[in-house]
Amino acid sequence: MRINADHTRWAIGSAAITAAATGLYAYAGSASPTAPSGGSWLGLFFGISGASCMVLAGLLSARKQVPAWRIGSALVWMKMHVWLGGLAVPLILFHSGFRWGGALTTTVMVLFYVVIASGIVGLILQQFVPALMTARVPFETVRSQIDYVIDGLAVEAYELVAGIAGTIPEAVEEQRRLAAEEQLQKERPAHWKQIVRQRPASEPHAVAAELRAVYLSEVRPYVREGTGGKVPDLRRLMIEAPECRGKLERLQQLCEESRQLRLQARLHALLHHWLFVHAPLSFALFVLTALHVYFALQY
Amino acid sequence: MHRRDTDVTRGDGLSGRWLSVEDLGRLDFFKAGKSAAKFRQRLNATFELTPGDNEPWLKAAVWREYQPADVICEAGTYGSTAFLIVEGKATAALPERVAPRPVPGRTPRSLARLLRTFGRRTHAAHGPADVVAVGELSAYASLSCDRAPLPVTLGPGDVFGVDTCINFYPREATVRAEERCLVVEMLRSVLDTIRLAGAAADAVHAAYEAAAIRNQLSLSALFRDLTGEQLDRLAQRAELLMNDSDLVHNDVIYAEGSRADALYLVRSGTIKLSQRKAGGEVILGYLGRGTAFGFEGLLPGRQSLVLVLHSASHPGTFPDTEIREAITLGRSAGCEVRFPKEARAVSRRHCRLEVRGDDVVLRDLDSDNGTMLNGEQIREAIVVPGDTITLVDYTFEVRRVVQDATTAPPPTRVATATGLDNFEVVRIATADVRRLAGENTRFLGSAKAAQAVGVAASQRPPSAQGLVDALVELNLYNSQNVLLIDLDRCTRCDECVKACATTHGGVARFTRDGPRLGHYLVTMACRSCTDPKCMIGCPVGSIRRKDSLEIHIEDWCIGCERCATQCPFGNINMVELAAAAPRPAAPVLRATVCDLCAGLDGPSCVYACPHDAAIRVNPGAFLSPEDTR
Repeated sequence: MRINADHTRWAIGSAAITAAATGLYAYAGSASPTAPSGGSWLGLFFGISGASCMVLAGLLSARKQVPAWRIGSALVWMKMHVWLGGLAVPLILFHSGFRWGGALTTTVMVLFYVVIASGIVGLILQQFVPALMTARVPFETVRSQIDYVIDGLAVEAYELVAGIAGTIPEAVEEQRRLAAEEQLQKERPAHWKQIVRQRPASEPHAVAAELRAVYLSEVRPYVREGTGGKVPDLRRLMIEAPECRGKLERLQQLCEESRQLRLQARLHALLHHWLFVHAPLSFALFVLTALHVYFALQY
Repeated sequence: MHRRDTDVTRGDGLSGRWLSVEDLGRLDFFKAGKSAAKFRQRLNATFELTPGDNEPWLKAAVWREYQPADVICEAGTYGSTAFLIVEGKATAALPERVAPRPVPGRTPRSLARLLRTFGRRTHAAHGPADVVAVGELSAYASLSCDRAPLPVTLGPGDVFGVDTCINFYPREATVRAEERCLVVEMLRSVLDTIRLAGAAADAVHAAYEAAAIRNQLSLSALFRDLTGEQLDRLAQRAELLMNDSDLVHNDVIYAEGSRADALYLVRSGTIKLSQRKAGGEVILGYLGRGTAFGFEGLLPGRQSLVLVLHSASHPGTFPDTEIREAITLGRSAGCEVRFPKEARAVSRRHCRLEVRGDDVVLRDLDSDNGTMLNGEQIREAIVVPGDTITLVDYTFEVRRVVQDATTAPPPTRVATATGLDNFEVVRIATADVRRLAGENTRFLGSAKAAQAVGVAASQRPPSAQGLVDALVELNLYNSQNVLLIDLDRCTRCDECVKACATTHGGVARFTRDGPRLGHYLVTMACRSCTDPKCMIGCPVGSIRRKDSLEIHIEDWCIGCERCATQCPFGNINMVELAAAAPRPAAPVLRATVCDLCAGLDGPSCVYACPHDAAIRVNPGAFLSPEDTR
């Protein structure tokens, strides 16, 4: 989420609580020769407070399982997740007395820092990547539909080339999809998503052979897989066949669209894959924290 | 007993005793030989029936019986049916005051956020009060009438509720049975067939037009000061114009520079006001239902000087002559003030009065005996009211009088009015309005105030033109509740879609894709259009509005895909449900559309967005500087 002026009250509240906790810790520290330990009353207070913040922040994952429930808007829950999660840092630090402790507590602390750090990374990514995606991917679509849309682009590319050069037997997948569309339209004549397709040229154009070669070696692999590294350049063909310029320009645009969709996939991964670290480690953190509480109470 | 419109359509279509094609054809309303046969023929074609098929066809018309004092339909409620009285009498009364219902699910402060993106919408400090948000109600119109309206009696053969059935606006009148009434309640599919079927069609159209004009005038605050008799007179002379009316050419109601000879009230649809400037078209505004426009020259802007002959020796010889552009005095036939042939001392072209800007100038045209102004001979001089002009022994006095409002020529239009999509406007001739202004001083005051508003609107400097153009290009002027996603905030987590699907049995009602407006995504979710094309032609009336603006598709949808095809934005999806016995091989289709999560506390999509990226706005508010949200 974007950190902006809407977070002012949360920021002020967190800062105030942090300041109060710091003041309390500093006072307790100055009043005794050693810093308060985790087992002291103050340490326990910080520990319980910090753990409570962690639990409340962690409830966001439960909230996401019931998106339609009216238990507070998702925006408020996300703010709570961010700010209480951040508030847990000083509280846990004060609880630990800035010490690592034994193997379990060290592991808990390491996990804690990694979870916090991954969360901060996610937060930073969310400040910039959405706007980057908006600017760089005007042809953006729904992420789960990228493969389907690229398939559609490939079919349209085939349709354009076949409209100039005639049927291309090597384009098997494209022809299969066109056949399926035709079958659907026969079964559902009132179908609201009908697409009107062009027929392949019955008399191939003069540039048919060259176009077919460019299509099979460059355009088709690029649209489908991004093979070749750069968008195929069709300007020479546009000069040789000016009457086909419109179709060739559209073909060029299809290549550009497929490039953008692959870029979208990468940016989408950048925007979300940090969760593969943050989420499972958070779960592990909760488990180990529970163990830490159990053992701390036992001993 | 009071029936609400939402109770009418329950279960499988209209509940009640169905009418068949034969039943309708036997009604007196349609009995005209050929028209009854034509009507049956058209119905059969509409519903793809075999002639003679007596099955209750798709449950689109039912009998209803009402006891005295029963409410047949209530003002302010939505509905999707029209009524035909077969027996009995009912009274239709416009309400004294009905509060317009707000569009649900609007995100607070979302407009302010969009404004920051696009900059201020207007530089004008005070916007014209009559140019309101599309879909909102004009301050000059609907549902704010202070006067107790006169009820109308309806009897056998009268059709009412046509406006709601066709235009999908709330019912304007409350209709109550005066005695036991037998009524046919019908869906639009039947009404449309009636409107195309001969003599019955003419009767329906005439009744609709008369009611539309009468209601629109009655509900307009602009005419609230007229007496009942004046309103009736005005209603008889007014016309209802639509896209295909003779006075409308290619949806242009009037063009810039044409004569301003009428005032208009928007009955339905959206009207665009624009001007031609260097560089292209400048949009002044978009006007929605209830707005009045065409105020140019409604009343004289300033008083005119009228030349009055004031001579004791020649009374009645010369009529009062208005000084407009130029008038020549002399004996010649071409003079506007022509002296008799016997007045030989007056030259053939003696002198001339000319309007030059704000001045009126008297110029002698080298006459033989000169021209006197206030006793002094002049060659050229400015005249003012009270001056005396003497030609030999003819004396004229320059007087300022109030111009006769009904005879003053109308000025020209300062803007072009074009209808967008389907529209209906009530046309009132300027002469009729001026005549009433002369009879009714309170109305004169209202009309002057309205005229000032209209002039201000035409002089408003264009601003945020790019945004306005974008709104029109994306057809957002017709939309009342649009789900926008701020792509600079959205992390593409799809929580909005998941929430929508969870709320609606696993099927999301919108797609997080669509055109862009700056860095906002205009999602493919129902926009609650003011002129919903999706509702036209549904054979079973399953797509409708209930108590507010959200659109519902009931579970008796037959999956004909007509609404999905007609939605210009692709916001209605056909979903395959599990086929029911006894035909398990055939997929069952149902149309689905965003219903703004009716019954919940706001739409789930906005509620579930963790990044404050999903917002709902009324795009029409961009076009109204009165919006302070």
